[in-house]
Amino acid sequence: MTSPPTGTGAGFMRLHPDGTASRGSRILGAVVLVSVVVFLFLALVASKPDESLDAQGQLVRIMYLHVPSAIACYTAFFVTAAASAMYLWKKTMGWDALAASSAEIGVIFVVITLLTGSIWGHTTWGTWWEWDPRLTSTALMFVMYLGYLALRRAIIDPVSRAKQSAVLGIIAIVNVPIVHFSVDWWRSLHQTATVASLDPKINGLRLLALFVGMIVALMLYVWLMMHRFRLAYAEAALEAKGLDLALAERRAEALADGGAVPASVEHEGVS
Amino acid sequence: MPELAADSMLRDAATVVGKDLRLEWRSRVTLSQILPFALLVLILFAFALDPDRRILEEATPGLFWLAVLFSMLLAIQRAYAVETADGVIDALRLSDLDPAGIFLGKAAGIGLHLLVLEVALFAGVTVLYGATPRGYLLLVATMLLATAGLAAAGSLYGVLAAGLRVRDTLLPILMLPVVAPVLIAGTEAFSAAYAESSGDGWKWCGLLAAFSVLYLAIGIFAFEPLLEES
Amino acid sequence: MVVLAEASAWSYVGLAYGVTIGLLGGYTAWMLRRGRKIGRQLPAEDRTWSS
Repeated sequence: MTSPPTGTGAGFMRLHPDGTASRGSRILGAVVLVSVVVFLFLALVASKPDESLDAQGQLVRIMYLHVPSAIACYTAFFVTAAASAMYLWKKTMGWDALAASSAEIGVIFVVITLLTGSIWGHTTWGTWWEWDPRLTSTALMFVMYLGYLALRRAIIDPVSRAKQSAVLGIIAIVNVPIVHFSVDWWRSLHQTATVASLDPKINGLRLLALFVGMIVALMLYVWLMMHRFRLAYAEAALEAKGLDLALAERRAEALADGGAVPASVEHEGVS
Repeated sequence: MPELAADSMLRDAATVVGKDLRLEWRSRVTLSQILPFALLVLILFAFALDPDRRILEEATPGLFWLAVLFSMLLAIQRAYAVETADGVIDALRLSDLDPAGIFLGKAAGIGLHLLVLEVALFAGVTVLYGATPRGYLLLVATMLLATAGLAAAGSLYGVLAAGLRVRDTLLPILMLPVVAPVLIAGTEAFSAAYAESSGDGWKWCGLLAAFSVLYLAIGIFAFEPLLEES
Repeated sequence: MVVLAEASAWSYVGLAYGVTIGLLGGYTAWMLRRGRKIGRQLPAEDRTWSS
C-alpha cells in the first residue's frame, strides 16, 4: 500500500510521505538544529571554565545539560497532568495522546537529568551516587513515571486506559512535591557540611550558555512532542479502526505473562 | 433523598468494610499467610544483617517499616483479589453504593489488616531484635497515621491495578515510590521514639498526617472514574 | 572539592554530552521510524498534519 506523495517543497523541506513531520515541525526542527550548534559552541568553546573560589573548572559545563533537562522533564510531567485533567473533562482521545506523549518524553529527560547529575557527582563526590536530595527525589519521580507508562501498556481497552492513566497522571504530579519535600527533609538531618551540592555559581557567558541550554531543551521538547503526539494520535486512530497491526505488540506484552489467571478476571477490553 | 451525602458515604463504607472483614474471618488469608510472611521478613533481615553487631537493633525503625511495606503489597493485592475473583467488582460498580464509600471501606479494611500486621511486627522486633521503645505515645501515633496514609494510597492504587493481568508486578512499581515519604517519615519518627528524646519525631508525624489527609481526599474524588473502568 | 586534572575533567564533560546526545538521538530515531511505520498503515486522509 502506497500513500500518495503528500510532501510539498524540496530539499530540506521535503517531507517523507508516511512520516509524522509537517511544515511546522520541519521549520522548528531546523531552528532547533541551529540552536543546538549555537548551544554547543557556547557551552563547550566560548564559555570559560569556572575559576571562582568554589571552582568547578571545566565540570561546570555538565550543568548546561543537567539543569535544562531537569526543567524540560518537569515541564513534560506538568503537561501530562494538565492534559490528563483535560481528558477527564473533555473525554477526547487527543488529550490522552498528549498526556502519554509528554510522559514518555519526560522520562527521556529524567534519564538525562539523572545521568548527567551522576557523572557530575562522580567528579565531586568520588562516587557515582550520593544521596543528594534532588537526585534522590528525581530518581523516585523517574520510577513513578515508568509506572505510569507501564500502566498504559497494561490496559488494552483504549477508553479504560485513557481514564485510568489520566487519574494516575494527575496523582503523579501531586506526588512530586511530597516526595521532594520529604526526601529534602530526610537528607537535611543527615547531611554533612563537606558534601558539595549541585549549586555552582554561574554568571556571565556561563549564564548565557545555561540560559540558551534551557531554551534549546524546551524547543526540543516541543519538537519531540509534535512528532510523538502525531505518532500517538496515529496509533489511537489505528486502534479505533480495528487495524490490529499496531496493537499486536502491545497486546502480546499484556497477554504474554497471564499465568494462572482465571478467565473471569479478564476485564481488559470488555468494558 | 433527604439523606446527607456524607452519611450515605460512611454507611456504604461500613457495608464494604464489614463484607471484607467477614471474608477475612472465613478465609483467614491475612492471619495465616500474610502475617507469617511479615514475621519471616524479620528473620530474613537478621540473616542479611549480622545480629551480633547490634545492627539489627539500630536499624529496627527502618526494618520495621520495610517489613510493613512488603506485607502491605500482599494485603492490598488480597483486598482486591477478593473483588475481582468472582466479578464482585462488577457487583460493586452496579450496586448503588457511593464510590467514595467503597474507597473508604476498602481503605478501612486494608488499614485494619495493616494494624494487625504492625502490632505483630512490633512484637517481633521487640522480641527478635531486642529493641525497646521509650516514647510509646509517639510510637502509637506514628503507627496510626502511617497506617491511614498507606491504607488510603493502597486502596487507590489497588483499584488501578485490580483486574489487570500484570497487576502483581504493576502494583509495587506504582505504589512503592509513592509511599516512600511514609517509609522516610515512619522510620524517622520511630527512630525518635526508640531514642532518648522524641525530639523531631512529632514533626514527622505531621508529615504522615498530611500524607493521609491528602490521599484520603484524592481517593474520595478519584475513585469514581477508576471504578467505572477497572 | 576534588580538583581534577584538565584532561580528566574534559573526559567527564565529554561523557555527559555523549550520553545526552546519544539518548536524545536514539529516541528521536526510534520515534521517527515508528512514525513512518504507523503512518504507512493509516490512510492519508487521517494524517491531518501532512496536508
